[in-house]
Amino acid sequence: MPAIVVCEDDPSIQRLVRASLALIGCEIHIAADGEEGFALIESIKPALVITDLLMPKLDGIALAERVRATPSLAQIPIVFISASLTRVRDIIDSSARPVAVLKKPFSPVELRALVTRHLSAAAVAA
Amino acid sequence: MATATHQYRVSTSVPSGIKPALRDIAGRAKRSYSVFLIANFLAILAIYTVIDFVFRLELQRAGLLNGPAELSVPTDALTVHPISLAFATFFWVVGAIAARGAIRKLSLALNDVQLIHQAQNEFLSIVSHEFRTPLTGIQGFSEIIRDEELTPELVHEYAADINTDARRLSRMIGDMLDAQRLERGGLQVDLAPVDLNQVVRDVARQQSISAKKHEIVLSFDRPVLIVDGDADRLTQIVTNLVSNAVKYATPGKITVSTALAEGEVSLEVSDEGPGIPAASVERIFERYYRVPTKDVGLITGTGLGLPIVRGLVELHRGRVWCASSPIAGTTFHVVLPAPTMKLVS
Repeated sequence: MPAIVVCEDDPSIQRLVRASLALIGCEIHIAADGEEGFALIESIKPALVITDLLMPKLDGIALAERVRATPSLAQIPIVFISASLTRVRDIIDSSARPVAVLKKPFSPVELRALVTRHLSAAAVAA
Repeated sequence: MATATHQYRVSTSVPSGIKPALRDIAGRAKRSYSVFLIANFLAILAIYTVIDFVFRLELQRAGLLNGPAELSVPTDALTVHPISLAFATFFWVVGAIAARGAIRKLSLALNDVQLIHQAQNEFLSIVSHEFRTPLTGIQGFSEIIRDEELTPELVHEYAADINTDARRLSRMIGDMLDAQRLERGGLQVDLAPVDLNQVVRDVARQQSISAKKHEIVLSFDRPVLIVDGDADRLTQIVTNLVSNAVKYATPGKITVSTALAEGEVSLEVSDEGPGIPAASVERIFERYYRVPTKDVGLITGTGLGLPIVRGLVELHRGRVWCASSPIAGTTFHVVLPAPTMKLVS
């Protein structure tokens, strides 16, 4: 069963992501901040990372840049969730190299489709 | 100028349209000012020269201009009389002082307009960001309930999530309206005897649900402490202070204490750190002000909680302030007048 790490500080969005992905059949690990998220990513080496942009300790961009800078994790696809449209540019301009940026409020169907697509692409690549 | 030092947690620039517009107004005002000064000088000079000329002409006609030859001035030419020059200079100086004052007032007003515009802009961006989070929950969970076959337990659980997010959204809207009504003086409190300790107990119980990393400790100098207050507004004051501590303080104890001393009722909410920078302590009750932090993820809430606390405390004829140090943590002090009737037990 593929593992997904979700980095999100808001409990409501954590539960929504979990509920949205319940049908996919994957292991979901949730971190409430960027530091905790990176530790989880390092130990689990998930098939996909979903991260919020604004989080305590380490924001989504810094987290993604740290993942990209770690050779064993650099290829993990990262999906961003952002409530701020103005910050989308920052994500794109950074070296985070996300596979997608979802804008809040997002649709659970949209998130599920996105995750399924990237998980199967990762499976094919593997 | 005091208002020029406003600093905001989220910094967006003044939109491109308004800044050049304000600069343009200021530039035009300055140009008009220079033209006004020159015109003022020339006009006064001209008027007094003509008056002087006409006056001398009239005197001559009346045969009165018969002083010593060296003092008589030919009447067929316009000349600048030294008195005309003195008058023109005097009025020019008066005009310059008055116009400079007006220009200064105008530029202060323009600066205020710019700051207000900037604050509104930042507020809008914060609010839209903050509103999106509960909205995401409401939209997302309702979509799942609508589109998927769920067990009754899951429907119930997701409906509870929607309810929580809707309440959060409603609180934010309430805060915005309260802040606006406080600013305009449109908020009224219904003062009646209220047990402050009971208010504190209720808030602590409510906040303990979400305060997973904090222990809320209550400390009362007497079991019942009656104040003249509006129960709902006192609840709002205590909730805002405690929830701030839950949101921003390092995990540990949050102590809420009440006491009656020297004819005043005091309420204190203390945490164990990390403290608020000295430069921010003075300003945290300002509307929209946010404590600068490297921790970008900590931008939460509308930034209206403390201004609302201050407004509500003042409506209760009390005062509120904050003391903070990186070692001891932060304490918010609220002092309310003790009730006039002997209701304290």
